[in-house]
Amino acid sequence: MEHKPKLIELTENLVDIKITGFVLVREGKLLVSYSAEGLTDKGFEIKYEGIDLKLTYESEHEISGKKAEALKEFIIAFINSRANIYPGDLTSSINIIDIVTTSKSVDQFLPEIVKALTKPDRFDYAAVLLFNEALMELRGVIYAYRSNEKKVFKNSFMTFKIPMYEKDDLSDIMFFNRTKVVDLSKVESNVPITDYFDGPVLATCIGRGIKPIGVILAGKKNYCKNDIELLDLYGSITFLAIEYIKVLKDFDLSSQKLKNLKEEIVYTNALTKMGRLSATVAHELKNPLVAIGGFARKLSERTGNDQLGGYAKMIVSEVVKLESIVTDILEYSKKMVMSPEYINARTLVEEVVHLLEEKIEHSGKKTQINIYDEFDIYVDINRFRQVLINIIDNGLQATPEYGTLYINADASIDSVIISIADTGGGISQENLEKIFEPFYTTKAKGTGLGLPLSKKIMNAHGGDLVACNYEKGAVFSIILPVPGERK
Amino acid sequence: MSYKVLIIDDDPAIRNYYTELVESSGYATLTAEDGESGIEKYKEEKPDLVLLDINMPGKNGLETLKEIKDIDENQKVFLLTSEVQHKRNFISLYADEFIPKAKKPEILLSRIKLHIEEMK
Repeated sequence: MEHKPKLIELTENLVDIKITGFVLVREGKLLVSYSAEGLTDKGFEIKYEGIDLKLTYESEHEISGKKAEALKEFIIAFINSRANIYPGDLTSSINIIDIVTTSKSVDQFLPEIVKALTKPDRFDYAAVLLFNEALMELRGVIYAYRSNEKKVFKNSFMTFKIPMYEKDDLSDIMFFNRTKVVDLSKVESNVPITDYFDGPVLATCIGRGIKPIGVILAGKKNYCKNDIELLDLYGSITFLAIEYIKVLKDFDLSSQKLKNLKEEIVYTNALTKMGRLSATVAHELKNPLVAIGGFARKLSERTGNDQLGGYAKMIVSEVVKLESIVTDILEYSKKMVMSPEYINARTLVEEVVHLLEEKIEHSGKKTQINIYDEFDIYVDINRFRQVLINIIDNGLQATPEYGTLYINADASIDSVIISIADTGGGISQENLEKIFEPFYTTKAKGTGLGLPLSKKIMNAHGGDLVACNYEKGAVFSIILPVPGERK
Repeated sequence: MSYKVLIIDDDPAIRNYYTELVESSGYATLTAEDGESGIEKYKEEKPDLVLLDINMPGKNGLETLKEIKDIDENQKVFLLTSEVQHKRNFISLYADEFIPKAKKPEILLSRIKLHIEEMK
């Protein structure tokens, strides 16, 4: 025997009839089909918000008038009360999950949520608002309402804001992850709240834990238990979707980073090999250079100031240049061991400036040092002096005649920054990217190792050396970490 | 029966200071050194009031506040702050009081008394 659905049993008992045919179609999907033996001459049809029901019955009396109306309303109420457990709705919930897994962005996903919530028999309107914790406000993202089966989206909803300065029903929803009917009539907002939400609204939270993401609001005339469960489910699905999309994006970003890192490692390995090779070459060159230089010096002493003596002197001066390149290369490729100690920054900077003053004697160039008297730094003094000499010397070279080079010091919680700012007009973007690469130089006289070596020394201090431009020139910032407790 | 105050702070000096202060007013105290053990103590002892530090290693004050309010929405919880002005955040809307640690002890005691009076 065919199983008799509950609705049919109830209807039969209620109006004392024998149902002989019952076909329920909802949104084009056949939900219930039932037939029983008997006459099929009496019956009626119900068409209501996507529900299409044909019913035939056997009875001594025709059901008509008020009784028929009451029966129709009873059947509709029964179907709607079971709305969310009907297969049709289950399918659409599964569709939403499909959309989650294929959505590339939150913007793509949220319209689907409000569309699904405003299907017939669900809600008259639905909206998603996201929470901005920095501003402590809920901001409208998307709003949809159903009128004559046609959905209308309001762009103006994007400017709709609800401040969250204190506890209220909406904040309770977010704090306790609740789903319940709230009265928004007293809620403060920048646009009258009744423009969007009239009467009691069902609200659910998007988010878990201490970082709520937002709320979904949905409205209709009366709410039943199923509506609450449905919206609660949609709140959870939306939270999952937003988290899922975020995780996917993070994953893409990390993969990209990893890829870049791999390329960097390959590049660094190549550089390391090159470095080792040049160190070997430099080492092998050093001894012959000493010999060449020595003999050339002897030659020049013996020959005096004639032409041959001039040649010998040229050899000597070129050898001196070669030796300094070789020393720089060896220095650059060596592993640096630092022996830091405390020293007054101002004293050290003044010492270096004094050393370089001779070079700028007749150029009218000036230096201006702005460093507090009691400003101690923790550095390997010789190495750090080398960095200062290099950067300040470069800065002075870039400074135009009668220009000023500014040397400032600043301290933050975790670092000390000594910045050397010239007024030479700055460094081109192309050069800025390359000046810390070994052997890259823009000067006629230079090994292209000064800045890389300085950067290496700063890195060995746990700090850094960076360059950027400001309106008048270039700034080199020597960054030092603040050491732990001073012993 | 005297009222119980649970003090959750990772700094032992602060715990001792508040313990003495609160006991001097005739309330019983319980202490915990982090959020996790604070919540355990809370479940066991059901104190009348919780004094909760915000910055703690592990579960911080805000997470702890959320968990306590999830257990009992009406539980009175005071957040102890060390910053001059605490950054606004959503969860802190649910603290019953903000007590800057640097403030005079009388202020804290008067707030405690007020909330406990309310409960009577």
